Amino acid sequence: MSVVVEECRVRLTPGDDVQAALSGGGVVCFSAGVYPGAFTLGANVTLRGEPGAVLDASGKGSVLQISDDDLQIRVEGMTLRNGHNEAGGGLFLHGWSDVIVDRCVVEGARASQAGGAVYVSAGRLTVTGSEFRDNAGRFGQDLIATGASEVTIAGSRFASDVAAREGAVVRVTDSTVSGTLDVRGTTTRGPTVTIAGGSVPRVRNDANVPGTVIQQ
Amino acid sequence: MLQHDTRPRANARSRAVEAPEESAPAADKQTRLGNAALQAQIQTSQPSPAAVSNDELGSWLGDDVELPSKRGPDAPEAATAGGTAPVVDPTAPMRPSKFKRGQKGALIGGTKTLELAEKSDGSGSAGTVNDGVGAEIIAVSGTMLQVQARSGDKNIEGWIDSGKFADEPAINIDEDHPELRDDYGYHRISGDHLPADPKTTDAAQGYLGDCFLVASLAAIANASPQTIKDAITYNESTGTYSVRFYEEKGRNNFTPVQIEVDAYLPGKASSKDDPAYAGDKGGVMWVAIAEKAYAKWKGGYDVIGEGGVMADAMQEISGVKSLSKQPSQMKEDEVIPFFQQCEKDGRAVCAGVRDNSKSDEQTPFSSSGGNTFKGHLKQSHEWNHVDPGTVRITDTQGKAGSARDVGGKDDESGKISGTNVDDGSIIYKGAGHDTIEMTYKDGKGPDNASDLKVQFSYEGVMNVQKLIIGDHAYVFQSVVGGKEIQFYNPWGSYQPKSVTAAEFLDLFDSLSTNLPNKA
Repeated sequence: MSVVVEECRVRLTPGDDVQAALSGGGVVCFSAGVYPGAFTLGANVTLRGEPGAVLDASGKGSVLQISDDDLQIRVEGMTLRNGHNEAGGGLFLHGWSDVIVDRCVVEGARASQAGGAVYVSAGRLTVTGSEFRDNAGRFGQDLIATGASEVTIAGSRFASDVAAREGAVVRVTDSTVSGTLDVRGTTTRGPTVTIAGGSVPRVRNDANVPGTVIQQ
Repeated sequence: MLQHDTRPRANARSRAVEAPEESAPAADKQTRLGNAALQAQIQTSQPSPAAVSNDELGSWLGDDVELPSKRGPDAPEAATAGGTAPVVDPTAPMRPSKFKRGQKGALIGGTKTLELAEKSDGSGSAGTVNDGVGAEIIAVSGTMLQVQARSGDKNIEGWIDSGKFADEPAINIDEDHPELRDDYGYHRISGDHLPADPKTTDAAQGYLGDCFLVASLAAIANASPQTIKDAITYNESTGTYSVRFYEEKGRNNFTPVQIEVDAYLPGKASSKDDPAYAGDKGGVMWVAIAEKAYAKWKGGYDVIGEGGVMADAMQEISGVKSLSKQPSQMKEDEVIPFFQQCEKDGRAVCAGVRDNSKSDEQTPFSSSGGNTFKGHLKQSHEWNHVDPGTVRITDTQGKAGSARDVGGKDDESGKISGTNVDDGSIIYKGAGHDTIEMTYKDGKGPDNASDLKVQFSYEGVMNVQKLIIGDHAYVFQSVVGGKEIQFYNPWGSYQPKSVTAAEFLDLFDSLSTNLPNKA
């Protein structure tokens, strides 16, 4: 099977207008370097980073925010750094879109509320081969999946907590969660979490409003 | 309301995980307090013991045990002489029909105190708890429940008749912060507390870190009072309220959820008519009723006290998708028109303030001779405190190099570390807070104490003149004079002054709007 890699529509170097490039959609390639800012994704776009390509929000918003529906977003080989928002300092996904995070690092993110690094309350997120570290929030420091979102995680490492809430469907395969995988529903629905392989030694399923945790 | 046992079970290939006991991670304790901690600083209430420790209990899920439905402080449901319609006491708390290990509620018996038995047959005494105290079931035997409940400054375990266990949301606790411990118990508030004329200024957040919710309720009330009026109904015959929320199940798919709560609210034993959380004594109570229903839905006051997201809360109240925007992406000349448009459209708007700011450069150090230097950091407001790990000390002349603090969010004090520093400390909290003392290695210190400059990040009040509090949600009220934005503090007090577009962009880092359907 051959893999078709789309060519870069635009190749950025530090100092270029990142938001304008992202708004144009297509494949946006990032040369090594630090790109300051917090960005909103409103078009089908692939962010492809060379080694050393860093998006740095400097504490002023989520590094990447997706609120629109029906988008196809792909983030490859990027470091998302120093985001801060009420939730999802690294990535805030609130729209019914498909987002793939592949071979990325999310670090130094903070949330004043939930989900320091990643907050997903709608849509579908796939995380592969990525690393989450030095992120902070009231709970779910590295990732929170809530609402009716679907999150698939494979071959990734989380230095802190991952949380599944509400009716989220979360599958964690061959990944390491060094903190707690925290599961909690409401009185009307609960999340479903499937763990297959990897190392997820601490799972907390709320006894009062539980979810379903399946280990394969 | 759906019961937990309607949820999908593990299939034959898989096994349901028996989740091990976990305690909350220590690293996030400071941030977890949020604005509730600030409120604790400024209110005069005395600290008191917490209710029940969730983390001390395992999460093994026992089978539900169904017992005869009860209603009333101490008696089985009565029936009329004809054996038809049951007589319901509208002043009685709601009682669950099922009991299971891990279930949270309250012990309400209608007496001042309740006795917990040592054994499941009711014999012996395990201790006494205040009426209305929060409780968690740890075992079920016949019609008796073994519960854990707060008594004084500790949790006790004992047996009690299931008829005294009320279906109430778990009361918020914080064992790590004594200033937020409480002896809150459930007390009935009398009367009809429907939102007759709901408005933003009804919001009065209490000792709970749920500004996201209280702000969202206030914002929806500002944009569409009818949405709030339609959401809360009162059943006089049962004395209960039904609160409608919406659950987002997919794109353009919001399903209504009705949560029923009784008229009991957590409050201190010494001031039963003053709710501990949302609502003020003598004020309107619809926010408190909505908050209680939200807490019940989500698993407890302790759950919503951990914080939440404004965009989600607003859409759960209105049933309409919220929109989020990043203030950092707005240009200054876009800010006022944006809020004017929101006002024109009738949008509910909530905005969140960033959680820290950088201090100005200070030269606080003095030396009494030798290599030791001491200084006191100046805060711009009495509520402000150093964000540990952010202190940077530099010798402007270069001789002593630089130094920094090493400390965590929960630490009372930290160390000062630097290549030329022999020993040093900083006090973050308590007596002597904001004091730095450090000793340089021989010959490595600065020539003059005034050569040492220090800068740090702080949490607390982000703009003293405008009284904008960090890590806090505000409700947009109006554009004032076409050039400034007026926000409302959901505390119901410490209201900010209007801010300019530039101040908005400097202070706020999250922004969500919702356009409720107008009935």
